[in-house]
Amino acid sequence: MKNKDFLLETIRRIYFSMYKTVGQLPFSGQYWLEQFMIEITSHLLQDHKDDYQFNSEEPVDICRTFFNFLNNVYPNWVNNQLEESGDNLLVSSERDGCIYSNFCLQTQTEDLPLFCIHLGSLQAVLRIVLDKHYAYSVKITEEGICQGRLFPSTQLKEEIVTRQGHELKLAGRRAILFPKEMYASMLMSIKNHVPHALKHVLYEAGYQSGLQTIRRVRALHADVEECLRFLFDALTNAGFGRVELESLDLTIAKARIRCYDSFQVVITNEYGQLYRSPQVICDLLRGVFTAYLSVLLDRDIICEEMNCQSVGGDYCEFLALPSLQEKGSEEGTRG
Amino acid sequence: MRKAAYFGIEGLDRNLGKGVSYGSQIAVEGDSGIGKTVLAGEFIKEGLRCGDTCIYVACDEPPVAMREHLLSFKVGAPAYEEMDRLIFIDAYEESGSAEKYAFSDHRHLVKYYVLEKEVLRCYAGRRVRLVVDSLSTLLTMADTSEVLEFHRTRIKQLRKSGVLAMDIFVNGVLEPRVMTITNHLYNLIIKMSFTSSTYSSLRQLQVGKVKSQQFVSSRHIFTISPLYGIVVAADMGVGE
Repeated sequence: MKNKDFLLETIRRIYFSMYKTVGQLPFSGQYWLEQFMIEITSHLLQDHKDDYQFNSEEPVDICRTFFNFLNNVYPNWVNNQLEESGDNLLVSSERDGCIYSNFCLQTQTEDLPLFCIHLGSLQAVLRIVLDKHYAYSVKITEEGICQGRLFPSTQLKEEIVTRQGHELKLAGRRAILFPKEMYASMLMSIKNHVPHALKHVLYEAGYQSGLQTIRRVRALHADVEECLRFLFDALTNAGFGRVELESLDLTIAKARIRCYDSFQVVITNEYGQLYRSPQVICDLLRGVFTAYLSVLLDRDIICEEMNCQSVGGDYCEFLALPSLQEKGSEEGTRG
Repeated sequence: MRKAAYFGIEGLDRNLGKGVSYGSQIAVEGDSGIGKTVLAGEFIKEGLRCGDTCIYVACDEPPVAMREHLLSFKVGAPAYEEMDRLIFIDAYEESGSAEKYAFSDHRHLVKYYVLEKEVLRCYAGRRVRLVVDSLSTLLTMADTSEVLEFHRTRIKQLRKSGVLAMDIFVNGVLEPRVMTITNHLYNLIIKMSFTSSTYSSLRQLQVGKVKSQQFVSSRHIFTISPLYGIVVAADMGVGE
């Protein structure tokens, strides 16, 4: 293998190893890969600052300049076509001619989500030059043409955790990570001191924190279901359990939600029952869901936990409906 | 199937030891405004959380009052009604009830008995809590012998069906003699009353049962919190 081929293969391997590793990290590995791409691109631009010049603030011009710069440093590094479509940038190329095609094929072989290094680098360069967040989507046609689309991103990187000195931050806000022993101790303390308050405290805590989150996120999503799924992914990534939207009927404001392996259940199983009788215990999540749905559906919704893994269910199931419903004149039994 | 049940009121449940078994009957007696319906609400909330099917017979207020009461404690009746886990029998409206189950002919207790039996039959095989709020209202138009016969037959049936029932009585509605006889039929009796101290009027509840013609009970001071519902003295940090 020639030196050049060896180096290229090594770069692909490094990218693939990073990609596979970050996918296993909590708090959204893909966002970490974006951070890596920004760091790599930033260093590249800094090290070669005399070899290019951004003369325009148009995203398409910035991307073209970047690709030209790469091709000047290394001929045929990039063979992508670039064009504008409104706010979007359309990027296409033949996969077989792509320098990262081996990386791409390997991700498919290992059933990993598609990640395009070229599009990732454009995302990074737009972030560095314009300080704007772009997301991308990519698909590969049957003819082997990669069709990518870069578009201004509205999604918050809610779950990315960073450290600044001794401070831990979640989506830029001060955060703490503490072991479940500490959470369990807090619950047990509430139970011992004010047993009648426990379920109310959990529900209210969930509701108030849910309200803060949904008020921040609501404007970023036009679609209710998309917004809910985004929020549930964030809860899942934060370790609350695997939260899934089972069904949503906007016409009657009804939602069914499931949570597999709720952290609350695990804690109860390990540290003891919170209540005298076996019963549903996920009031924190119930409060969170109530807040999300009340804001998203713009009416008073209340969510109930109908089944809980702590009492033998396969999952915790929540049913949300408008808090008070008009009773129709039902056909029924009269005495 | 026959696990122990509780009220969901820590200070009260602590005194119940192993709880109340399904198939038991609880009588709640109290002054107007003392908090009998709040106690019924606690009993229902606990039942719903524990997976029970709860049937509430609304005699003194329309069913919507209990729905709103539950909601004020962040309990959503619609979800439980949708899953057929919370059932209302409207015994309040004289006519035109919008509820699935309704009873308006208070002159004929037997009709109520038949309706209750029919509703309970629909939920056979489940753990059921039944609350009649208040049974004394249903009995006002019946004579003493009819009341006693109704009680004996009904309680026997409820016991056989494994239903955990709570019957509420407003003090002073039924004759003392009827109440004395009736009390013997219940496994647990809760008497709620106002009691005056030097400085203020307090609420107290007595929990016990009739043994050898005597009501043997323990006394507890309680309050009604708009956030938590009934809070018994021990929960408030005051000695029992």
